[in-house]
Amino acid sequence: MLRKLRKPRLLGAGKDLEKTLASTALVDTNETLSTDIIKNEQKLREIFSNCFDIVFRPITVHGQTRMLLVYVDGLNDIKQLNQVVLKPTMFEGLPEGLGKLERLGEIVEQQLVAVARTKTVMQLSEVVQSVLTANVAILADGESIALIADIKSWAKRAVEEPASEPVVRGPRDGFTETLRTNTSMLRLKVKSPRFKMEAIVVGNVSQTDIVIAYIDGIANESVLEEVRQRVNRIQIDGIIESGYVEEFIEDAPFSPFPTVQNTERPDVVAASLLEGKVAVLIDGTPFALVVPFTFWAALQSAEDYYERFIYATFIRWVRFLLLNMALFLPSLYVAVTTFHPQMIPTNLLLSFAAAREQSPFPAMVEALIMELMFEGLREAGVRLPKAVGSAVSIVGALVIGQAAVQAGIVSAPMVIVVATTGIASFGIPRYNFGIAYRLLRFPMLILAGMFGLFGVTAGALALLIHLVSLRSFGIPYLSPLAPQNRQGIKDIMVRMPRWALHSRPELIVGEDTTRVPKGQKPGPNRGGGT
Amino acid sequence: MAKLSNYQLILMGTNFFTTVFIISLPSQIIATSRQDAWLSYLPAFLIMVIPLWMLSKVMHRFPDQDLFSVLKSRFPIVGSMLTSFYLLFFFFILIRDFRMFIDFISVALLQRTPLTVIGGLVILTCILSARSGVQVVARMHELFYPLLMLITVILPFLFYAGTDIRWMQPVLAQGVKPVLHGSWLAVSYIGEIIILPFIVSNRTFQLKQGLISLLIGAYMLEMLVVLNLLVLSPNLASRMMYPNYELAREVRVTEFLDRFDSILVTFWLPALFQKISLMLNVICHGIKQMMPGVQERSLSTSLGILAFVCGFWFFENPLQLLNLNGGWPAVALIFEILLPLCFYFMLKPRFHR
Repeated sequence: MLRKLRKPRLLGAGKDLEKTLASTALVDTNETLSTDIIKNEQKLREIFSNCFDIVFRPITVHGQTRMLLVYVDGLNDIKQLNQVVLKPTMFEGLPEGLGKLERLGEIVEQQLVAVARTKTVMQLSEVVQSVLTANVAILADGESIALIADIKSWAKRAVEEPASEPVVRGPRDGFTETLRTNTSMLRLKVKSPRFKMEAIVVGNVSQTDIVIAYIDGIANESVLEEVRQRVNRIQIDGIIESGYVEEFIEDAPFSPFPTVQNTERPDVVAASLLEGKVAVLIDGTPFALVVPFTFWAALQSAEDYYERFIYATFIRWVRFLLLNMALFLPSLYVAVTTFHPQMIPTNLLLSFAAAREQSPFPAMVEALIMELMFEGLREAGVRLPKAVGSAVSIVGALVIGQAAVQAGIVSAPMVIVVATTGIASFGIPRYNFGIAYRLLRFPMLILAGMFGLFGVTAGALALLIHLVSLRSFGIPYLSPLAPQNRQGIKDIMVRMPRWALHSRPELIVGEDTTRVPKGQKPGPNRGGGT
Repeated sequence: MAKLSNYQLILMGTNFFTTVFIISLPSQIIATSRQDAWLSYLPAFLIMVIPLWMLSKVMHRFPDQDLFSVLKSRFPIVGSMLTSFYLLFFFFILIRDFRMFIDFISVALLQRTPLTVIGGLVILTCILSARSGVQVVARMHELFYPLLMLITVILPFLFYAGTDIRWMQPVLAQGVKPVLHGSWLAVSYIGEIIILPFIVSNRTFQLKQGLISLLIGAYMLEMLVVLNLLVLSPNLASRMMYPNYELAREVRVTEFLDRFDSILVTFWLPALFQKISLMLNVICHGIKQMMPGVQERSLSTSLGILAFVCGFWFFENPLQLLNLNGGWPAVALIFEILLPLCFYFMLKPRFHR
């Protein structure tokens, strides 16, 4: 059933904006511009008092018509401002015989100001907001309108490969902090008029621009509507990073597992949109949000879809093994050595016993100490300068590990187990998902220390119960495995060849379910040829 | 009423009567039927097809209702009484299964941990699962049960070198009576499959799902009892408390890994958890049908705790559980065969002129 889509709003304008400005009691949202430019200038100077970066540039055209340019220094292209606004109006002036003064705004807009994007506004609040969103406001004496010219330009970071999601094969561009750049990168990847981007302003003070991106006909309408509702419900003073938005729109705030994906890669977002997901881009951060997010999406990397399916499948199995090791290896070691030593082959058991002979702590305490130290080392490594970070963490880990073993505080097998667990946790593609596993390792250790394998099983079961009951925007977290969907299973543990992935994920997609028509399996030409 | 897929229902049905069956009942069946124990299962399965067929016909007469709501809506007073009896029956099965489970854990895995602590952990996990709803329990079945079925398929290959066909010969040497005695012991456990129409309506529950569940369960149980006979022999298997666990301990996969039983138990334990959770869920659902104002989620916590207490109150030791299996069929068959027969003839929609 078709739903009425919200009209996309021009960035930097909107009803919420007016409410915000009204709430700050600085601007009456109903106040219109005066025809007297002096009064307008006075009001604007009052509003922008103590804002040293707001520039008021009065100019006079032909010695008679006074105009005023208001803009933020540092957010506009000064050269373009000089060339397309100041120079034509100051030196070329009004063309002769163009008519009355009331048409100044129209004349300036159409003939003298060669800017791609302009609009006229009549409310003072709109002028204020337009200036704050890096536009130039042009006011003229005798006119109760202002011309808003879009000549944004500020210092931006260049498009680089994302540091958090590097790939060996695949595009090397990543999102930046500028929303326009990010939307343009997506537009380059999905060149279809069905690719929609709806703009919303969130944040009473920060006035952050947020874009909801989706492909019409492919995105699930119920998910899309849910995203719209949740984003529109956000009431906050400022949005600095996508994490703020994520915490407002996620399904299970107290679950360690994320129900919203974040990524810096435009190719990941574009691929997700083609699967029927919805993306949320936030100005000021390179991390875009993608919903819905399932458990299996957390195990997928962008590279899975760029390499051939055999390698991609193998890597997924390795990743799944690493995932289980990251969670269960320390607890299984503790459970087996403490409660079920008969499970270990005799030679290995003797090695473990000899190594643990000197250790004063029970296996569970040893594991907890080592795991906490490892987490501390990992966190410290993030804060260290790059030049010394890797050296300090490697040497520190080696020295601490070796010294602790020689001092008899911990046993060597425990160091190996903890190190292997750490390496395994780095194999999880999604950082926020890996955090959940790092957190859960500790209660699993305690259960293993208290109840052995039975405790590990009970803990794993409780975890699975939680995962099975979790949903992300209405989609079960473990789908398409539970509830089972045979088409969807083709892209979980096994990455079927591209030509075999005929349909989009059933639970996520909207009306357009066919992705790859059948009959495209490659092969030698049939019939003829030598 | 729960919305479950056919696949989920089949797995739940199979899990319901297989996971507890394989704990200690096979040793009693082998003790009575000896080398013909594998024949004992067949009459039990065949008998249970009849109540399944009858119940599917009853469900067909009352579309979009589960059996609890059918009983209440058709005969308010008598239906409520029958619902209460069924709820008590299921609750007793829950207590029995819970106690059997924790006794097994205490003997096989955690010998020095107090039984109450093991029981507390088990019931806590089951309450957590039950509170999430029957759909969560169904999805858990989708995750675990196929692995358990796969293990049953692989097991014969793991025992290829260690079997002796002579342990199953001669066939029917002691006549048919011991085989029927074994069937008598087995039928009450297999009959627990009649819980399916209490969970879902006729849109999900058809005779086909029940038959597929029975078929898969029959294969699994038969495979295990045959392996018990071929590997352990009737003499040894009948003297063991947990013959299938001992069978798993006989698995040798190279010299490095000779304790495969723990891995097998790791897959079997969650299935057992899910059966108890499902039972808890069904009882809560039934009580809610009788008392609509009750909150199902909070009810599952209370019932779980009650089951925990009754598990220690009703049975002092595992031997009492084994002794129960002798007389229990006499009670169970009333609910599993006699009452479904009555439903078939008496539960019909009201005729409106």
